[in-house]
Amino acid sequence: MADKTSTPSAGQDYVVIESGKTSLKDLYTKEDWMAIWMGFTILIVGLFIYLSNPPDKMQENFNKYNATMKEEAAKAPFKTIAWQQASDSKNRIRARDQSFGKTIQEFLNAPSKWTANPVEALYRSKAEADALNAPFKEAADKAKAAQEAALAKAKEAEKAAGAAAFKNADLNKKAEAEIAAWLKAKDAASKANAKVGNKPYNRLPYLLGAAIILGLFFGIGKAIMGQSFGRFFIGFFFVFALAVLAYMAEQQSTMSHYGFGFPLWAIIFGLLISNTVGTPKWVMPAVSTEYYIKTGLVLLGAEILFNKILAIGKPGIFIAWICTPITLILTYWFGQHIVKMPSKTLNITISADMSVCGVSAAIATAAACRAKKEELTLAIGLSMVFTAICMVGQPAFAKLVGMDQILAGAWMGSTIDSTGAVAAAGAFYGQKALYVAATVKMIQNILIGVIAFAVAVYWCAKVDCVPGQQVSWWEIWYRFPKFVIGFMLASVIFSIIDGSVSAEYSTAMIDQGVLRGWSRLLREWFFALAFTSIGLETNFREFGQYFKGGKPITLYVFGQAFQLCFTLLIAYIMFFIIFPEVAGKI
Amino acid sequence: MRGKEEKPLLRPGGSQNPPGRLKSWLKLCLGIAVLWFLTYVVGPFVDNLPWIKPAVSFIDDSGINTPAFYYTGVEEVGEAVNSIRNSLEYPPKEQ
Repeated sequence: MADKTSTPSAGQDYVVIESGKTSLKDLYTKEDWMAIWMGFTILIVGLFIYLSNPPDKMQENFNKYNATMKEEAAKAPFKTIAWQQASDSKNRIRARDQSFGKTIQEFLNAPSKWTANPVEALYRSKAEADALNAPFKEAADKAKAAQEAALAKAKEAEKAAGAAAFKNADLNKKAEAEIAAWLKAKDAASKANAKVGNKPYNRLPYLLGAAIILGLFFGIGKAIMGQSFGRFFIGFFFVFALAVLAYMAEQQSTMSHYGFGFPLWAIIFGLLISNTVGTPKWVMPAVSTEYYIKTGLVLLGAEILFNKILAIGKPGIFIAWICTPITLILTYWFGQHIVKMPSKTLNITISADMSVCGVSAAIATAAACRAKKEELTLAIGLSMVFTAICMVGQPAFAKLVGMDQILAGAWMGSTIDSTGAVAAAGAFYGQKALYVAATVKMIQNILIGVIAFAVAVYWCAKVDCVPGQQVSWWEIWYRFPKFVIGFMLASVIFSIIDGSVSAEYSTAMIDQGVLRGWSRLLREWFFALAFTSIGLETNFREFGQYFKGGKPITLYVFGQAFQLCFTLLIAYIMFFIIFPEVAGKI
Repeated sequence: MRGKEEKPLLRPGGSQNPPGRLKSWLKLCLGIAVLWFLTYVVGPFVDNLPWIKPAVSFIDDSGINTPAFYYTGVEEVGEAVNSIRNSLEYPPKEQ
């Protein structure tokens, strides 16, 4: 009887494989180029869908809210109630909140949160939704009443301050405190309201629809590259089902507390199958790590909007774009010369994921330097464990030493790997800390475009050469992972679009439209499929060699310890010595 | 369209003889049991540790998507960036 399963060996080792010379045929037979065409097809469709459907009276509303904030800012020495309401209303203008955006999200969103029963992730009846809402109804009503009472008090205090033409410092201070109390009550009411917002759903038809659409999409690409569409399409459903399971594991309430995301679960589930019963042979045509990861990276490129690096002014650039590369280079040097890492690709992947932004940096860097899939897996595993520790430990430490909110936010934003964990740690410390942490992290996220490109060039020009060899530009081109061009081009094009319109327009239509309402959702599915594929073709024994002497852990701990100290110092210098006016405005 | 020649398949796995196959399935069941144990026993135990519990309750209440790894996956980032931009563009007048 023929073998029906396969387990992995060291055969297909690389996250990205690029070979030989370039020819025109490569444009439609190589995964690198196909990833570019497929990624750009998605981006063009997304631009068409969203840019042709802006929210009603969008510009008119922007003008109205901006005028209110300007007028209120000129009137009082604090952010008045009207200022806060205008800011809030402006933030709510988002292209993806329109009905067509919601339909897209229904198809592409991850399964829902669940606690004890995994079925909850896919299906919830009306009776179950009502039962979930019932215990919180009273608390939600109370929180709403408290919010209204706090607003009334804030209005009264602001009126009193206004009666004194905002010149009485005590009245101003009182009004500011009451407004802060109202904002806190408003936040509490919003959270309480979310707990009674459970609705019935059935995700299965949407997931099936997504599987068919994505299977067709990637299958057509495979067919163009000369591979079998049918065999890919059949196997794809197995890979997709495992990716759904990975998302479900991420959404399990206990696991989500620690930030253990779908990449980790996709690898674990894949490994579990391939290293026990074996990956069924009919699935193997759809196990295409490189294909999914490269297409996902082209989409990720569109999310790298260079104008965002100015989001918090000069201090943000110094913290995220000066500290981070210094940490990256020092950690890599430490790995090569002190720890003596056995693999340069593992060293740079861990250094990038630790210093830049965790999983996304690991994926981009590993692909750019052609790291082995085991190396990428190891880097992601390390990142997730340390992220969980830092997410709980850093706000606790900041509280212990009484760190300023802005300083703590900058410190956490630059040193905790994943953005979700940064937001949780920042919010745990306070609203200002959350705002600064999230913004610094976003600026740091943008850095991966530069890092990935630099690593790709450095590897082609230096690392992959015989010592002393001079490499021609043509040779560098031959070796260069071509999808990186698509990744960078997507970033440049979207940055140009982002820069050519107003910040409000770009936020509502690009960030909160094309990206968050379209390409990000697809990109995450592509990464989930890629990590599932990694698991399905990886031999667990291959990991043993990388753990010898605990070198990856030593490297990570050194880099993280340096980054924690260095970033804290630079953040303090930036926000409290060189640019204190920025901290004052926040 | 005829498919391109397949790359050689990876090492055949999960022994094809019945006892070997049974062992493979037992290993899979054991793996699933370990994951179940982590999710339903270890996880909740850690959640309830006194120094972890406040953070866990906070995460539950806030609804922050902690596993998200890029800024576009976290709602709070959009809110933070907009609020900071409004604060920097329209700062209240100096007292």
